[in-house]
Amino acid sequence: MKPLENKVAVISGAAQGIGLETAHEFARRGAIPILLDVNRQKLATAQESVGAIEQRAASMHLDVSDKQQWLHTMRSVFDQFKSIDVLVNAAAISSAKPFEEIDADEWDRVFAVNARGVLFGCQTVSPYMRQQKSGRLINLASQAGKTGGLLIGAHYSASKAAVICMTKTFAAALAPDNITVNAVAPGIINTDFLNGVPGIQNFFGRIPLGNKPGEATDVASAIAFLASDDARYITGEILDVNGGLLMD
Amino acid sequence: MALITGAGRGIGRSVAIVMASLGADVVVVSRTKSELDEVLSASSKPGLGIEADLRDPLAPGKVVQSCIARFGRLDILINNAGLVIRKLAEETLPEDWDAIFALNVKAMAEMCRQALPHLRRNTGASIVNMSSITGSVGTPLRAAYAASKAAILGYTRVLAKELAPEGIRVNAVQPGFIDTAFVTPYLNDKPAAMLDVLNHIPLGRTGTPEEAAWPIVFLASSAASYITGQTLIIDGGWMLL
Repeated sequence: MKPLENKVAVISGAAQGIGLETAHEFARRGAIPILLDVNRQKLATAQESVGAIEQRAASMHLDVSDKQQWLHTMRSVFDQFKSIDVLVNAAAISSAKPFEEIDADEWDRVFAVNARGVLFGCQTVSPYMRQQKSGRLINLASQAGKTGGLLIGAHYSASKAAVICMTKTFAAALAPDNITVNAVAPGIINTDFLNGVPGIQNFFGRIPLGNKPGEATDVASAIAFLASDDARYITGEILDVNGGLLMD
Repeated sequence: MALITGAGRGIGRSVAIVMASLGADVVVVSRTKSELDEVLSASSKPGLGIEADLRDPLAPGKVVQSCIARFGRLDILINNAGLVIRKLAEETLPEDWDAIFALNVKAMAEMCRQALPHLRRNTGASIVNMSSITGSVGTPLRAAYAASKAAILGYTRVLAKELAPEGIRVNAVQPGFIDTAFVTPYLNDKPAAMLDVLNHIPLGRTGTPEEAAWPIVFLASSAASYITGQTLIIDGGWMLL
């Protein structure tokens, strides 16, 4: 039996990068991936590529900052698939600029997606998981949320610190119902996201393992581990996937 | 090919059994022959048992030699052997410090040092060291033990940095309350103490040895190939409260 056989695994931000690779990895392990993203075009392409591995894969348009959309979409997922076993909150935005240039609207927008999106996702699926007395919530934090990542944008880094904290709060809240909540904190990972961080190449030499960024599959592997039965006594944990760039 | 110390009981035993079930050649080290025999018979693939007391400074070298003599290679080292002394800090004597550090820290480091020439011959080699949540939080009656578990974390990070250019990964785990001889005998006849412990664990139960073993196997494997110098807490959420 495959490790995630028949688990209904919802992934936000699944149309690209780590979210998409996580969907692929889940599909390879027998799960039913439900891809969510705000970009319809990329989502369609993603659906095709994940569907080629697991034909039961589904995709739905979702703006994670909209609670009503979460409620509506998760109700559809539950009605169709009869359970929600895993939620991976991978949707995130950023813009690399000096902190002095961040205005209120941009700060709010980044928090609306990166932090409130995680809140809304967890709020929406936890009732289903409580009823099942089982579930896995996995959030995408970031090394930047621990070290204050200046290059990637102060608002992004702060929002990821919020994700780290929420992961722990929700873990304590949901543990009595056998739901674990964990996060992965990627370091420098080779996805399109890096194109928006000028100067990041100057840091590659500091990465102990191979002096190069990790791949999306490295993060997807860690997420798949946290989603599996093998991780069932781990909760409230922030798993760093960074080639040794940060050891804390 | 995996070498696991302290594998006669508890988490080490579980790691050995899980790895054997995944098809690995496993070498198990313990001071107690009967325990070695038991874990080998419980394993789905024949392995090698080595009776050794790792507090003997010459023992790690001999253990690694026996491993190479039998299997010709070494890919994964799990430094799990450890002991605990339960005393107030002010009653912890110099000989207690020596005893704890001899096994928990120095033997662990010597195992790494002896294994290294063999680990570096293979791609994907990795080391996982057994720390504890006690290495991070202050648990009364565990001064020397806590210091040794914290020492393991410091060592793990240094070794991870030094070996990263060679692609050898080094990580640690910090289990919380796991059902082993380290924990269960001390709580079984103390219902009040057990209740205290359980009230402090969000998942509401202690962990099984397998639940501590699986994350160790993950860290040792290629699924964790971009993870090094990290410590993974396996505690049912104990540290959250």
